[in-house]
Amino acid sequence: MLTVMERCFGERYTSTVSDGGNVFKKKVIIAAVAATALFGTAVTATAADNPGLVPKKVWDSKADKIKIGLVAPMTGIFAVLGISQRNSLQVVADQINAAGGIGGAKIELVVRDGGLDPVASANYAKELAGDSSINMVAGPSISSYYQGAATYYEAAKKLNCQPAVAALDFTDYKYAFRSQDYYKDTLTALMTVLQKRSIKKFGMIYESGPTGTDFDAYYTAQATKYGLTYLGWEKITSTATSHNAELQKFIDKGAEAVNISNNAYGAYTAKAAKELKYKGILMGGSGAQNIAFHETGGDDFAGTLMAAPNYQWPIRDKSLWQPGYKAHTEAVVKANGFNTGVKSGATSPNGTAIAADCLYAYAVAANKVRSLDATKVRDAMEKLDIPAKMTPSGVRIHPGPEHNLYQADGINVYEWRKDAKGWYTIEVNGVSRQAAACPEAGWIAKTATGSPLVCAKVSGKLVYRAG
Amino acid sequence: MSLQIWIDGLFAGSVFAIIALSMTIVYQPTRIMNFAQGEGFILGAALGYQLVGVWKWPLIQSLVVLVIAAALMGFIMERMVMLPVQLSGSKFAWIIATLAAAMIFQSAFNIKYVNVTFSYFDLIEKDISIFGAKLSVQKLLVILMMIIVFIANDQFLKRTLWGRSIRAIAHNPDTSTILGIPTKPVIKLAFITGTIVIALVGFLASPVIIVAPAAGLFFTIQGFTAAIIGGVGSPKGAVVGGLMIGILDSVVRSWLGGTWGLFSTFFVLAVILILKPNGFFGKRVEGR
Repeated sequence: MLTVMERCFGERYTSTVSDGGNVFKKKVIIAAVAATALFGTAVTATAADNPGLVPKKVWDSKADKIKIGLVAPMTGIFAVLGISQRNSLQVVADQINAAGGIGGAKIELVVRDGGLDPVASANYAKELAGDSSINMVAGPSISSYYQGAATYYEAAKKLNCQPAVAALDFTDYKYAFRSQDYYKDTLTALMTVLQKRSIKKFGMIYESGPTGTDFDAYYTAQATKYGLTYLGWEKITSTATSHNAELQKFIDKGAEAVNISNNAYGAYTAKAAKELKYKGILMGGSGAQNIAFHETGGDDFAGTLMAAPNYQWPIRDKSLWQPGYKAHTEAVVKANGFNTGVKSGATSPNGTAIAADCLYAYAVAANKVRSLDATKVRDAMEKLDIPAKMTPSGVRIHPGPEHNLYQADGINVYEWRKDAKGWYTIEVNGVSRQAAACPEAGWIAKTATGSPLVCAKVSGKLVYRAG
Repeated sequence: MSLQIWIDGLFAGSVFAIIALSMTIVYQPTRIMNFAQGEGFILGAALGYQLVGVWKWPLIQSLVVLVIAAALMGFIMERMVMLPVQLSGSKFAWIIATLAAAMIFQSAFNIKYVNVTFSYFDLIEKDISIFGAKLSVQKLLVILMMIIVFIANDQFLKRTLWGRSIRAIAHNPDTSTILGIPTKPVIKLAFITGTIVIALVGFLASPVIIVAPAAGLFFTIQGFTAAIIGGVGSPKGAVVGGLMIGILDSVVRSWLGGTWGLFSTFFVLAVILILKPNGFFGKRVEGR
């Protein structure tokens, strides 16, 4: 007899299963049928199961607890990140525990506040890596901090999952997984959009460190392939009270777009753009979800591009949200509420679903191999292929040997916009996993398998049609 | 180099100058550089955010509450710093006492505001154009406040009984006590006044710069550096030192890049400490 676990996460999902998506089902039936016929990507009936829940006890791990460590900034200027990570992890942990745990073991979070201190973060990572009762660690956040901690994890063979490390090549690490968009995928998506908009010159304002170094090298090497001139990297530090000087240099050089930091300091660049009345495009990664950016950038933040794994919170039509993302986000909001900017009115859920994916993927993998052994779980995580509609993030998880939970097909580029109702986003890239919104006639998107879609007005409604 | 860079530097320098001035106000009668002073800046930013930003209180009411809260903080700070100094008898007790006070206040802000940066509405959403460069009225208010605080402090010290008492204590506390000058109330007044001044600049500047609950020590260090460059205990030195590091940071960041800003500040500090150990306007008696 198939167990619930096997029904939900059994072999049928280890083969490639693309996500048809709600947009297809509800709004673009013709395109869905065509895509299904072409690629055989029908989602089985079990996809209707609540993807935020992990099944009841189906095997005995012989453990009472599964401890998941988290090293993140819980206080200070970037506390929004750590608190969001903790909240999302806790929501998934509670759901798994309510469903019987993993092999009967209940999940417990062990949280360490590393602040924006690389030394403290590395020390906490060392502590958790050396603690045999810890099964997996998330964090430390920020690539440069993680770089210092990774050696401890590898030496201790400690499984770890990183929801806020965009840079670094994870093929270098045997026990690490990334539940964040890989920077090369992110920057490629952004440059694709710039090319489509006939942008010629752009620059980058980012902190000194491995992330900025990796970004700079990639832009330097790749920009010309997109018909772009990369004007270079203006380095910033945590002590600057303004980025006006850095932005002014790019304005003087005729930059039509500027890549801003994913970290809290990106808010200073948004502020500078407002103060200097910058007419070009700001663009960033997942960090541009942070409402601090809207607070400091004001209405001028509209038009900013954000490349990120699925982030549907600012998409007003919730019927377009991925089911797993919707379930997780609603649980997060119910438990922790959401943040609201006092100045901008922008909102964000008090959680980050990509952190939840770490625990979710761990649970699926552990249940699959029916073991808590780090090496066995790691091997199972490598082979996961969970469709987008089942994951808390709404992004397909299929790590492969690169250990990136999300591949390029999971990265969307959104554009922040504002109207009388407040802030919202639209998808603007043609390499998105699925078209989550159909903003205006003529808009082009693609399915996961690359099938073109065109936004068109049909009977007064904007819907996607196979292009 | 555009005029905008100099204007940005002038604004940042004004913030640092006011912080240095508030530290000078405390330093004159106590000979203590208060490392908890930056927490007053955070108090002002936090109250601006909470009262004006979140609760939408009118400006006047918010300012009244701010002044009362800052006075209370100044009073508590004085007790937290001066009591250990008086009880221990150690001439270095103030270092750990002021740092401890900073940590306690910082922790309190972190407990209350775990997920917030203090940024609220500009009091006046308007820009002034100066030869093509923009200066927001909010920034202009901070620059004006720096000038007003400097003049008011100077006149207070010269023309009032309390001011003359502070100068007397600064010159020789033991003789001042013998002559009947109420040393302890004067010290309390210095802590309270210094905290009100720095809280006001936190209130005014936080809509323009991004202030985190744990950023108090950063502003303290900037004010401290300004005070050292200008000459410890000298109001004129505080202003010159503050403006110097603000403008230097802005210009150097624009010229050489962001990572050079902080380097240049401390490089200049090192050079000045070698060439003029008492700073530009410091006197040996004030540096004792």
